[in-house]
Amino acid sequence: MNASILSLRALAFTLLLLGLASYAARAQDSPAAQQKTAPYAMPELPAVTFVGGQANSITRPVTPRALATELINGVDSSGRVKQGLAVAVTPFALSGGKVTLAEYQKSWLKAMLYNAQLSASTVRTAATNGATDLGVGLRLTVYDASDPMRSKAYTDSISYILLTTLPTQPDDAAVAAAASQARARIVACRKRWRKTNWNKTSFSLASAGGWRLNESKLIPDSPNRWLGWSSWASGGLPLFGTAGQFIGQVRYTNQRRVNPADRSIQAVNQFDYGGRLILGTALLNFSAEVVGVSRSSPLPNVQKSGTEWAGAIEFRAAEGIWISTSVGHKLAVVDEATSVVVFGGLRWEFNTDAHLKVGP
Amino acid sequence: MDFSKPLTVTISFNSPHAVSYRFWYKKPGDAKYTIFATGTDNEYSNSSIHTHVVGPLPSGSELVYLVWFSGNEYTAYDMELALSQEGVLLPGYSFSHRNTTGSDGFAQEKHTITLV
Repeated sequence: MNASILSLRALAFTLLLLGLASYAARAQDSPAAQQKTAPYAMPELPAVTFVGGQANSITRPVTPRALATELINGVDSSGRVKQGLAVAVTPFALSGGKVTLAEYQKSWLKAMLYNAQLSASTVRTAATNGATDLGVGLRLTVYDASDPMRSKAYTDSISYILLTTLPTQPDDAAVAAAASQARARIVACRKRWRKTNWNKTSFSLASAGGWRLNESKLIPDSPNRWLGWSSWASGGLPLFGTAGQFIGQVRYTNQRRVNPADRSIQAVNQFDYGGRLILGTALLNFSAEVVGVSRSSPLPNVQKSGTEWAGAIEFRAAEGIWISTSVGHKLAVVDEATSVVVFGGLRWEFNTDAHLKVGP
Repeated sequence: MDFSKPLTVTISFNSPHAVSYRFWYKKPGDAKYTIFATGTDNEYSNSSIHTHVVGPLPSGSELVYLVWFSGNEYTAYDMELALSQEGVLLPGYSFSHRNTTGSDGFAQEKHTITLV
């Protein structure tokens, strides 16, 4: 009994010390340093990502009439494009294309067509002439084995849930209560399915381009409106059954930028690449990632290329307590002749939940 | 519409969602609705088209259909429902519903048809 109390006190003291060390280390970290090295997810709406807008309020018309209404509403009476718009449409459904659940599960091509998404977005720019950046993008989910709707076992389970939760009377209160119950059961079912399918093979492509509209007007055309374009490719592969995943992503951008030195406009070609490995068990999680950038014609004071990496490991000390540490090295090549190595800090921290969650 | 003959209700689903539905009818003077069909999208070989027969129902009767969809979030669903008698579609009794699921992938269509 006394030995147990002493062990608990020793553990608490150790945790306190490590906690203080973590606090001190965090205090020295800039917000940027605390962010993860790079986003790996394919952009939800490439158009929004390209123009740097916010996808807080997205409209998703599913009929040509609804799309036309959105487009008309997006332009004011003086012909100016409204700022802050984000529209996403699926061309297959919009054009009246039909794909049943059985077809979706049997044909990856039909699944890809159904999920193809076009997006458009407008965002206010810092320019003084009331300019608006307009972006248009396309996203293709070429293959995604972690899509639960492609699993007949999963959709059969969902159909059963829906069937057994339907109300006996169609009054609004009974329907709302039953729907709420069905949704909760579906969420639980999807969570169970994702636990064993979260890391399946996937591959997606996306592309976006944009224009800068002076005074936010589509007409008349003017020179130098074209902002450039960007393309993404992202893929995931399972590792060790359901224990791990490797995700790779590349992005190429050709974008017109203003050179602050002489206000000239020049095209900047930029290639971003990254890879992330994550492995996990009930007691131990590990992740490592490498990202890099290469520019063909960088603006002044912008690095031509650079690579950095980060790694993290965490283990479960007790139920609900995870101890984690991470380390990052930044290797930045300022120019072709000089290399600078920056060593990142080592950080310990405690969490009530795993940071490096394997799966959803 | 011939109120002395039964009605055939055909419902079809044209999007990749798990679906379940239920139909009710209520004759004039009835206190409650009566269930006459319940189904899912995976019952038959052609799982996207379902046919049910009800009636004959008198004028003024109500048909209610409730359809639940579950799929990926913000995905477009598409369903059609039509009433017919002896193989002939009844004018004014064809309905099409297209919309998107919500952030949890769930969507509902509930409508009432009054037979006149």
